[in-house]
Amino acid sequence: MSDEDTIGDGDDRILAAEYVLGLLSPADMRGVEDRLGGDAALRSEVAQWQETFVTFTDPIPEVTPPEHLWPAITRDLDTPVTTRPRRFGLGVLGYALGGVLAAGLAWVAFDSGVMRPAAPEYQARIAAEDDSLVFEAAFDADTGQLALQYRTGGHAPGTSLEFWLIAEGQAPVSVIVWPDGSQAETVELPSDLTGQLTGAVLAISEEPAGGSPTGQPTGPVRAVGPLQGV
Amino acid sequence: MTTRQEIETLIDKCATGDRQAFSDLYRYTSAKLFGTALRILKSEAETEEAVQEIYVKIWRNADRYRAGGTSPMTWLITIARNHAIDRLRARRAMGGGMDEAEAIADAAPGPEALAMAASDRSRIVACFALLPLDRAEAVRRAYLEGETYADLASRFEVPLNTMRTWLRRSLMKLKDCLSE
Repeated sequence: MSDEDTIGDGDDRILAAEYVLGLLSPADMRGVEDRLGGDAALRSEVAQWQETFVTFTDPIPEVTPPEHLWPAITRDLDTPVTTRPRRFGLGVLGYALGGVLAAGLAWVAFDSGVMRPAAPEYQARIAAEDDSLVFEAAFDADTGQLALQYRTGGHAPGTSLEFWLIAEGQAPVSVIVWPDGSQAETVELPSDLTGQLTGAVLAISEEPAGGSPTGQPTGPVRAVGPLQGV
Repeated sequence: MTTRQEIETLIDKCATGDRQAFSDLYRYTSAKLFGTALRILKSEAETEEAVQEIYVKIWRNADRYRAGGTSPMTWLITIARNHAIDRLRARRAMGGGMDEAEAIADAAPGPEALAMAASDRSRIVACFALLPLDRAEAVRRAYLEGETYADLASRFEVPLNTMRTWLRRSLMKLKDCLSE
């Protein structure tokens, strides 16, 4: 291998490695995933890198999962999914903020006119990577209101789903603790936030019933979605 | 010890909706996937959730295994690794930065830094050994810690583009060595 600067951006061998490592931007990640279905050579590169890097896990000791995990998994299998994963093969896995985010970029149009503001400036699909929890959001700058629409999914008993708005480089700000059973909610965003929506992300965490006790997310992140300018 | 073929057969059966095969697959592979997710997430509670989601994903995507072109364990571990990294990055995006457990674990290179076992993988080990230590470490950090080019650039205190060039050259070197 010469050490010259011969590696162009177009080199699929490197692109495949960066894809497997999760080093690509969400857009480039999607670009690779879109090609995988029809490009056997790229698919082979990806597979070879997966075999190479998986050796990093060789020394990791096995840990037997707790016994309650298996019943929980079989319970989940019986929950119907509303959409098939959209991507090809392992691409289905995406990478967040690189991944959960990339999944959100595959924007699915609102199919309900009920909640949609007349002319939203931003929309988001806030989804778990496997679509086990999905909400949609639309923000109307004229009214300062963020409309949230439940699509699918649930949460553990004794917990609440809490929405967070994360402006670029800022700490999460609580948007709403979702009332159980509600299909749609509208929230007025503080005016200091409405100017920072470009590049912002909506996220949903699972919190103790009633919401985070600290004002910051404390539980697992269940779903993420970037706000997309319309 | 389960053979590659046995695991492969179980995944194929999962693709046809065979719950018994899925149960067997879980029995044979869950300790490896749980260990891997735990290594990445460093939290028992989050690992439990992650592994639950990982197996649901395996069940629902079993029909795609053949198209991937990897060995069955690589396919399973890759699903687990990617899912755990997704959660780790989402957690970082939400909480801002690494938690204490991570910080402690990061203080020194992990035991797996260059100690890849498995004799039939000696070639990969040999090729990694050709890389300067810090470059190999950067690749490992991307894979196991979910670090981005920006994270790596700040860790190794080089400009972003330098980091990118470094890493790409290292990957190329690795590729050349593996293709020999």
